[in-house]
Amino acid sequence: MSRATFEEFARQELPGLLRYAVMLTGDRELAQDLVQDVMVKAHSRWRRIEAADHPRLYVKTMLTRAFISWRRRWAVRNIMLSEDPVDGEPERDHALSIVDRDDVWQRLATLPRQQRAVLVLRYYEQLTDPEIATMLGCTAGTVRGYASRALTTLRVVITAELSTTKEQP
Amino acid sequence: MTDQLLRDAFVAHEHLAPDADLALEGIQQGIRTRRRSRLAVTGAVVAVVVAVAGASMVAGGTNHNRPEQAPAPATKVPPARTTQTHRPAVRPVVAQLTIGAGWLPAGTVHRDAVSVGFGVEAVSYTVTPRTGAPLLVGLTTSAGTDFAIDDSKRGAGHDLKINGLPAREWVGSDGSSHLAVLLPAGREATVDVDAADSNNPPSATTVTQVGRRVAQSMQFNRPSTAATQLAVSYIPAGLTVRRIDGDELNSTIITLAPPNAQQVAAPGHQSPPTFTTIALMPDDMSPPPTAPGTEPAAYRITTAGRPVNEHKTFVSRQTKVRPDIDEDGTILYVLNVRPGKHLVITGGVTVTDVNELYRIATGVTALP
Repeated sequence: MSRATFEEFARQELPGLLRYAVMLTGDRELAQDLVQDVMVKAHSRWRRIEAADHPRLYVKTMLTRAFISWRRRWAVRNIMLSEDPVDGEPERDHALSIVDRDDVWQRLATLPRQQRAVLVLRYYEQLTDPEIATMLGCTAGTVRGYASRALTTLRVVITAELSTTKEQP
Repeated sequence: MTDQLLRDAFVAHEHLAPDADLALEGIQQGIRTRRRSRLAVTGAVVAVVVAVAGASMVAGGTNHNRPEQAPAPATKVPPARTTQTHRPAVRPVVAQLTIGAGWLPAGTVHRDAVSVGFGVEAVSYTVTPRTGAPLLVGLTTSAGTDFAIDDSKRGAGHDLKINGLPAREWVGSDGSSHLAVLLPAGREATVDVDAADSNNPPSATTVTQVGRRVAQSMQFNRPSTAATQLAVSYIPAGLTVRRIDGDELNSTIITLAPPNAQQVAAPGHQSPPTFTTIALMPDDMSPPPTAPGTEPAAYRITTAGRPVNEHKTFVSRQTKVRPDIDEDGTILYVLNVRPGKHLVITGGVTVTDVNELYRIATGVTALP
């Protein structure tokens, strides 16, 4: 397969891969870095990828595993930034905001990477647990464990915040 | 938490996806860079192989006058990348953190410094919000309840609950906000919020609001790592790395102490014991000695030392030991280990033999 085919693949699949990377990382710049790193590697092993049944799935698996094992040094860009202004508009009442999508998005940032990846694959990509297990290289039981712990954490954090809101003077 | 809410949360943030054309440019650039580096490595390997083959033929006296196998001059061998691949990797000392911020104001966030050891974990961030003044946000967990039970703080602050846990909040004389939360098992978390730019301070309300929200969302089981700028290959017997302080821009300090030692003042002593430390310091922040000399007030005398890894050194010795003060003891300075930076190996109470300080220094690599 010629290099043009890799470029065709890249042009066709990049928007979807970038959206998926944002779901994993929660950050625009990190998503771009992650996709670029993985696609450069994909180029070097393109013969193997193009021979696969589902090249897109192959690259997405590379992306997922790269995200889980990604390491950074001092600079921390993986802290989820909220959309709340510090100065300006008064903060909304937490009791009203905790159920909205932005809040859930922020809570997702607190999860370990495997757990977040499982939620993204299950609820955004809408894959089954066996499909997720194949992608992560683990068992479906492990996937269910990750999902369960992630959902429990999200529920606990939200419950705790609701409790704090009630108790604060 | 419903499945639909999670789906909605993901879909609602699809707009954060980066521009595909920009990403494609980055990929193409990455491919070009990778290709260039491969060519360079291949060239290096070929040249080394030719040189080695040639050299062995000369050594064996079997030069058959075949020009294609003539030994390559040593100077033609490029810097030995092949040797580097066989050299053990120089690994930096890495701090393991378990705390982190679950929320910070929207904007640019940079983790400036970490400190881990002797039961304390601390991390600080500079936050430049999209709107408003820049902030310094510090998180700390420690054993004990110094802040929360301190009566002087009680007078200055007020009690409240954070996530159902008892907490106290007070404002510093400089306008900084402090919040201490009593954690289970006798531990305490503190959140400090301060102005990052004294010429552009945030409002008092902002500082307090940020402090509370950071405290509410603080994470206590969020493993992460921070690599220091130092690799250490020799640690004296009986000592181990007990504390790591890292400041990305300024300094790294690694404290070596016995495994069970505590950083608390002994009875009759003014301060905790000074253990052995390995520090990478910027010359402008903490100038090293530039010539031999004496400091009578500090009871110190400095002499030129022997080179360490080809770097100039100075040794500073105490001329008087005061029994109630755990002082630094002997200090070995190694100059210019990185541009504008030097090493300071402080013996403290744990290493008194200067030769041991030399051995530590010889095993230290300062990383870019």
